[in-house]
Parts: sequence; C-alpha cells; structure tokens
Amino acid sequence: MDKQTLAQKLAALSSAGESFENGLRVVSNGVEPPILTAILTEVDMTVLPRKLSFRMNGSEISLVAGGRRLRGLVQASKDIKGVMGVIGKSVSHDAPDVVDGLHSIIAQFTATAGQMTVVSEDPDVMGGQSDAGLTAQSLADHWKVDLNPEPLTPMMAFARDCGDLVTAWVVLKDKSENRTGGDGAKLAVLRDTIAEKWSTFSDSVDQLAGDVGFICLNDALGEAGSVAIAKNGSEAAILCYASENMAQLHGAWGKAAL
Amino acid sequence: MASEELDALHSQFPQCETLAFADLSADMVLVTNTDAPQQREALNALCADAAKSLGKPGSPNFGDGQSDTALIATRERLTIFLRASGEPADVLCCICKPTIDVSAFLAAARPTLQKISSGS
Repeated sequence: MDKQTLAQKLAALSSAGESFENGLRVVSNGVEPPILTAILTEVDMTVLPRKLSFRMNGSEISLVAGGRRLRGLVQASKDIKGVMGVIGKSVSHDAPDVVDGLHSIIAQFTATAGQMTVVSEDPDVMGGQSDAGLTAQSLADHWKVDLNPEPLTPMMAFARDCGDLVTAWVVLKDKSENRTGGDGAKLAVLRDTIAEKWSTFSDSVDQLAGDVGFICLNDALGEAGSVAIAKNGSEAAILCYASENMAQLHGAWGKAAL
Repeated sequence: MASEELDALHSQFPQCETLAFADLSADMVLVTNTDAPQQREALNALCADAAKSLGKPGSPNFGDGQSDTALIATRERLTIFLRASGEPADVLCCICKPTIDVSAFLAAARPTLQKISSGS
C-alpha cells in the first residue's frame, strides 16, 4: 500500500466527518460517494471478519468481509431477486458466476439511490480462512468502479444537491466536460446543445451574469425542457429542468455555497 | 395605458424597481413604469440583454426551443425577461431585488405583459 492510499484509509477510518441516522452509520447519501464505491470502500477497510449489513430504501444486503476482502453474500431482503446461486457461496476468481451474480444483486440493491447505512457485526458464517474472497480493488477492477473518485467541486455539489429539480446536468471545468448526471436522453440533448452552442453562448453568459451568476431559460431545449446555467469562475453547471421548477431552482442556487 | 399597467404591477411588487416593455424587433424599450430609475442608455442595454438571453423571435441563442421566460440572477440583482405569447418580439424586462417571490411575481407579470402586448 503506497503512502497516499494509506493516508486515505486513515482519513476514512477516523471518526471525523462520519454521520449517523437512527444510530446507524451513513456511508453514502445515494450520490456521494457512489453507492457501489461506498460498499467496496467498507470492504476495503474491514480487516477482521465482519458481517456488513447495508440498508437503503427498505432493502438490505449482508456481506461478509475480512482481510480487506469480500468473502460472500450471506443475506438479502426479499425484494432482491436471483440470490439462490450466490447466497452463502464464496467469492473467488474460480467462481465467476458468483462474482457476476453478486454484481447483479448489488445493482438491484442500488437501483433506487438513497441514503445507505451500514451495521458491522460478528459474522455467523464465512468468518474463517483469512485469504478467502476477493479484494475490494480486484472487484472494483472487475466491476469497473473507481474506488477513489475525485472529490466533488462546489459546482458538482450544487448539481447533486438540486436533486429532483433537475433531470440532467453537465459540469464544465475550463469549458471541458468534467462530470455529468441524470436522465440519459435529456443528458444527450444537453450535451448536443453544449457542443453546438456553448462556445458562443458562454460569452453572453459572462456578460449577463458576470463571474458568479445564474441563468434560467424556460423551454429552451424544446421537448427536453428548460436549461439553467450556474457560473462560478472557471466552472459552469448546465442543468436541464422542467419549467415549473424554475423558481425553486433559483432558490436552490441562492442557498448554494458557490 | 401600458404605463398604468406597469405602475400597478410595480405597486403590487415594489421589490421590482424597473418594469420595461420592449420590442425586440426594433431593439427598443417602448414604455416603463413611472418610477423606473434607469436612463435611456441603461434601458437600451436592458433590451439588448433580453435579446441575448431570450433570443430574437425564431432565433434562440442556446437550445432549439423559443424561450418565453429568462431569469438572470447575481447576488445583488435579479433580472427577469418575459416574452408575450403570440407576439414573440414583445417582451417585459423586469429588474428586481434578489429576494422577490419569483413564483408570485411571474403569476402577476405574465398577464400584465399579455394585456400590454394585445393592446387591451
């Protein structure tokens, strides 16, 4: 483990910044960190054998981890399908069906993103052999998950905090796309509009709203809806929204720490 | 009278200090509320900002749709531009304090614009 990774682990292990909901530790708000990243990070920080029970939106999965490895799924709530071939089975390179099946189960669990909590307990099963399972990094590579995503910039945090008020968003840094989110079809329209017109319209944005400002254009995207632009120095968030949400969106910008 | 309509809207929303009815096809403010503090140059600039944000009729600046409402916010000022339905060159330009109730203001301002635009 290099020094930077070690420093990140120590920071994560410290109690500073942790939050709790009804006594349960909150490991993701549904967006930050991304849920699968949060699950694998918990695995990566688990040295002694533990059963990690993740709960979100009424669903629950319990995984056994130890030695910074994920050993297997031991419990899942009834709303999660396809657990038969995975539950109680050891995760290993020799069992690709279990690895893929577990990914599918976690995808079901994370489909409705929300606040996720975790409870850590002594495991009833799979608590033995210390080299059993796969490392969080190995699973992250296999599932194409970034275990150390870049921290959110203020503009990314604003786009995230807009929640249901926006249907898609793009954050630009120095006029290049930096992070996106939301509905795929609306995001595609937003990207096309940016590609076609941002280079010229950004000058108007600077003239109209200055260095730190906010612009809403109702119904500018036709059937895809309306577009808003929040500007803060070299960053800009371009948001797709429904016109009836304009006043609320303006209120959200007014409260944002940009 | 258009100025009376604008004065009535100003009385209802004193946080909106300037209300100007403009014609984007002529790039010109035609009438303002009586107490509007802006000089002619500032009103011309306001009309130019309406064209930059809403776009001229049939010529949107960002996106393919013709926007009928533009809101431009800074920490010090909120500017709202409304385009009349049926007469896309007719716009109402509004300079407000940032704390104005946007929803309530829009609900009152749009009928005012339509009245002035239709000449009723």
